[in-house]
Amino acid sequence: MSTEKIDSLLQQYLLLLNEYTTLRNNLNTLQSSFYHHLARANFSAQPGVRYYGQDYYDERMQATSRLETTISEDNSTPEFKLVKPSAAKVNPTEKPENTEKKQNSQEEGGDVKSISEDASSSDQTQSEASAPSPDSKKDQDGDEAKPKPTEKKKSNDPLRWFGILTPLPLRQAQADAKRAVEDVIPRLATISEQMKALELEVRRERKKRAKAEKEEAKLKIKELEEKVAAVEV
Amino acid sequence: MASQADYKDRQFLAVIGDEDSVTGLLLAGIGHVTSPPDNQKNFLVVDNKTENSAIEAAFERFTTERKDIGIVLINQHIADRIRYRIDTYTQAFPTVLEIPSKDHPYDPEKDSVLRRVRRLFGE
Repeated sequence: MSTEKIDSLLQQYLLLLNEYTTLRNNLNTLQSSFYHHLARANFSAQPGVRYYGQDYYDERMQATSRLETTISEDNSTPEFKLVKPSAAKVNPTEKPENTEKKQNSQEEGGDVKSISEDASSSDQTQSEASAPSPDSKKDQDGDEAKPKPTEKKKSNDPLRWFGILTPLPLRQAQADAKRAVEDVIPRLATISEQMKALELEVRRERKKRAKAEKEEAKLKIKELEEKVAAVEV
Repeated sequence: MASQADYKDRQFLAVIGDEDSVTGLLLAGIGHVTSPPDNQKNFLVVDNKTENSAIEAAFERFTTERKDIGIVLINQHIADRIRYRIDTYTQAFPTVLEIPSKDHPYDPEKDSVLRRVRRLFGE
């Protein structure tokens, strides 16, 4: 009974081990590809750049991707996942700013046009009539609107620590590192924890089995002793 | 096994590694420095001059003191330098994972997960 349970646990364990080794291989290939690209980036470094390394780290860096941990209900092991909260947070805050600015420009433009119009209807007509004007303005001086989002990106993307025009190998290295961190590492950690939990369970079952075997042996000895006693009588 | 409070706030990865490994992981966007006055980094760059006590202190900080770290990544050759500490680490959180480095490819013989596997099968 318990042997069957141990076998099924070990079967699960071996499946996890298989996935673990596959992920390990993936991580190895991604890492070696990353080191290769980083070495190429350093070899063809721009003038003034000594080495793409810790000299350029931003001392106020903020993580752009964060861990999300959930506990699975069946074996209470953690499941790790990497999420990007900043992308979701930055966009909503950016949008209101832009719309506010648009509204302001609309009001400014509208005031000039609608001096003779009624105050109540002017608001509506302002927004309708002056709607195309900010667009045309945007086309003319689109430089004003564009730098905003790029500034956001600059502060977020660690690639920017190393300059504005980073070499292609460095960007390739970043892509490799991202894949490793987003796809492989959280899964590896999850599997490692699941394996730990299974190891505990297997050990527990083995102990139970050993105890049961001992008790069985004791019972057999008792039975034999009783039989011997009966024969002697 | 693990209470909700244990894992809820663990949203960062920490790294102990050589310069290239740390650069890679920071490029992927996991680097984080807490707001002043603490200014605590979630990474440690290790070179030949770094002492084992500094590595051990960082490991201690990431695994015990800080409650916002979910996974600790450590280069395998650096983990070897504090192997006794890694092997006796049994906490549920954070998970410790050994990763290869440029000069030291991954060695399954030293991997703590595979060592656990061998122990389970009685080798």
